[in-house]
Amino acid sequence: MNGIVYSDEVLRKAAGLVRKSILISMPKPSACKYDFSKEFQKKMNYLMKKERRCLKTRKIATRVLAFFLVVLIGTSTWLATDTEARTAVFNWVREVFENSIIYRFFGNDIGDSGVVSPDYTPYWLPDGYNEADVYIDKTMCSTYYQNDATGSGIVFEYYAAEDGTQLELLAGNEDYIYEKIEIDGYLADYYEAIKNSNTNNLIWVDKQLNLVFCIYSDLEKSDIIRIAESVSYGK
Amino acid sequence: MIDSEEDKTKFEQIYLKYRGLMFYVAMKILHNEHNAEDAVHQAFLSILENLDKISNVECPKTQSYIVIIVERKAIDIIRTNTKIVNINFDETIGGIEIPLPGDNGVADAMAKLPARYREVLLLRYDNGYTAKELAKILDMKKDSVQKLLWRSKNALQKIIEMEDNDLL
Repeated sequence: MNGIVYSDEVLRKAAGLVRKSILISMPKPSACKYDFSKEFQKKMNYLMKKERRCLKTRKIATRVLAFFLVVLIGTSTWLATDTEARTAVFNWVREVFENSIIYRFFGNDIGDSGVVSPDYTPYWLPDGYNEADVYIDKTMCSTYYQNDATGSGIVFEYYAAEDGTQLELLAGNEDYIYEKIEIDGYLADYYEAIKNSNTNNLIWVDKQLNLVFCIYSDLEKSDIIRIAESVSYGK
Repeated sequence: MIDSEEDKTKFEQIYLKYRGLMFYVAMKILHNEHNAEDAVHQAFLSILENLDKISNVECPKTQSYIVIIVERKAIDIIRTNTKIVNINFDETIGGIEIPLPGDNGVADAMAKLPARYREVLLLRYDNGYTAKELAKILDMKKDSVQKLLWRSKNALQKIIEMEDNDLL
């Protein structure tokens, strides 16, 4: 090929014609009837339920201008056929993509015990921060603390880290500096936001509690670590 | 992911309106109900991740986008299930059958492209997504998207040249 022969305009016009051909060749959506399996419907219902929950979490998170937002993207069957992984001890993998980081948890089939207790809380917060909003469901608990004087906030949340859980941390890899640190003997991932308008994020996994903890805030690293180290059971 | 009540409604509308069509498309490629349902589910996960890219549930571009996504997921399932490693896999899978638009030119050539190439050209030039947006939609690196676009245009040009030669 000797260079790009066709202009964008020509390609746009051609693509529009191809799209029309595709759609003409398809039946109308309303004419496509199919009884999906119960398994499929269950997965979709689960997805919608989780998204409703994420929606609420996001409402909390947007108050701290959180571009670093950890969202539960579902428990999936991604390891359903991977017997080696399923029989492994509780573990997780961290995968870095251009616009997100995904934590996948496996080997931890905790069944009904996966229900999260809402009673973990940070016992230290910087002066002026008070609990402003809480969201709780079976698999996660999210609390928003706000400093009324400054308008800044802290989101503290945790999730049940059961087999198949996936958490997505939405952040472009040019948006943060990544660092491994330690919180109460557990390795933690700290993401320092590069832009002032973004928030810093700390995520760590407590293997004994089967919980993934996250804090996001525009506070300094030392304050975020201090908050993390103060997290204990019992409100 | 879903950002507002309005977006959630949008996702549910997409689910209710297009799930049957998505299954139809997946079955055309996979010929297996279980795999087709899997492709539809994977497609919904992708659609949800990129929900902000959809402005109008009813418009033809949205329907085309949804068809492309489920076609891609169905082909991914074939790739996963294929035991033989084929480095030219993307160039050998045709995807759904498309009637020729009938312009005897670029559109006809585009319709004849392998699915991978046709999909990226449609998403870029009909839906108008940038390389960065395509990277997220197709779960690829941005530079890989740019390479794919270049290869797709190259393949398009080859088809047109071959047809021109046939006419001579």
